[in-house]
Amino acid sequence: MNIASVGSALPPHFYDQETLLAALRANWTQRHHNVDRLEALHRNVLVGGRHLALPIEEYDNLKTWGDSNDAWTRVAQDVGETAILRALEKAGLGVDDVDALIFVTVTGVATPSIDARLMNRLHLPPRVKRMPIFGLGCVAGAAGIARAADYVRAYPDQVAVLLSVELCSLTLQRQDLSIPNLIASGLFGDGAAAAVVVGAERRADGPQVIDSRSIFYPDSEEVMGWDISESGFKIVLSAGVPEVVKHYLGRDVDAFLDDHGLSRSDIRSWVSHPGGPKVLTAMEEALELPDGALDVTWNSLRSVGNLSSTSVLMVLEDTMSDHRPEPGSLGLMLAMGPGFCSELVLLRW
Amino acid sequence: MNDAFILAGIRDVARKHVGWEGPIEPDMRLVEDLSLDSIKLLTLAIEVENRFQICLDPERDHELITVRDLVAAISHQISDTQKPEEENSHRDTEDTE
Repeated sequence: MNIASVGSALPPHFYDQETLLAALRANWTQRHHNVDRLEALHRNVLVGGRHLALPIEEYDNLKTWGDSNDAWTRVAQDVGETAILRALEKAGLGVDDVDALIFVTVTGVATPSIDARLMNRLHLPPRVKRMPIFGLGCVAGAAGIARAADYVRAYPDQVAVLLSVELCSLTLQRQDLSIPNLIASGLFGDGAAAAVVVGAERRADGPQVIDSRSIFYPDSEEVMGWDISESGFKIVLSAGVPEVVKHYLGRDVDAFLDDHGLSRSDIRSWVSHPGGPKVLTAMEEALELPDGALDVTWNSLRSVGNLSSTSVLMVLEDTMSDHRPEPGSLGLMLAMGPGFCSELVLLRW
Repeated sequence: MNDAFILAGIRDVARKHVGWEGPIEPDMRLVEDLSLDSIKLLTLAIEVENRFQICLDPERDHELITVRDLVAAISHQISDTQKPEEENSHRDTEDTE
């Protein structure tokens, strides 16, 4: 089974970090005395700018969770549709070729789910098996690839499409001036990406999925996630993510690779979720990566911010189009998310 | 503003904003004894800035090892903040005279 293609779609409303800072600053001064410190915090995440689901002035009109979620449902279909069409076109496939549609998100809720609404908009075949998955968070890009590969392993003549849509800006609680929310307001952006994963009986140019591994870290629910409040999703963010990376990621990657008779030195390309600067630095140290190994991921973080599950798919898209590894070389796709958990996907290019 | 008053303020901020329910004494270490991770340390710094209406130097956050260090930093900033006002007040008095 192979990843035939990845297509992405970003909302058209791009703002550089200074513009976003200026918009948030007025809100911060209502409660915080040392606003310079908060601005430094925003600059430290090394994000240059972000695409937003809506024009920035429209966020003031979002008075309730319902308002935000209505916008999410509308924009998620727009960017989701574009991402799927781009991915299918790159794979040389049409909507009639799709057999399964996996939809992942953690930034909005809808029933019928976005995948169902896209069945209508894209005129996907009625036989398509839909799998909407909510709540995996940042790990869902890599985990979605793994689940799509599991599907086509069972049906080697079929085509699975993974769609990730994350509109993080629509979850921002502007009245929440806690530090985790202030960090989130500087880091997370909006976007969508779709990957076409095909079974072994179909031809594809993209990397082969050799194997995947899920790793769950018991009793770590407090590391990251959402609390649900009357106004929507309130972020839970601890400093524990880099610690988990430092303590467990090297061990888990080694164990996974060892089962294939491999070691880290056999991996030529790393397709990682960006997290944030501290997470990426912890990853580089824990895995003792060579200089530049995560350049595509760092560039993604700088260009558009952390797009939760969408990010690792965009890193994969960039790797496939502009930094394609040597044919036959091995790569590892990896992401972490709420639970706390990791997902590793071993690729052969 | 004396150190006891500042310490009482830190205790209140720690209880309200970083969820610390235990005692807080000057010799206690912020990371090891109060179990503050980097986000909680940042929260504590920002909330004491709000409470005392001061700006601590973020470049020197790493020097804050114990509660006593934090009390001293706050006290220093309060003194710095008050100095210009006192000087102005003194000048005003001289002008009047």
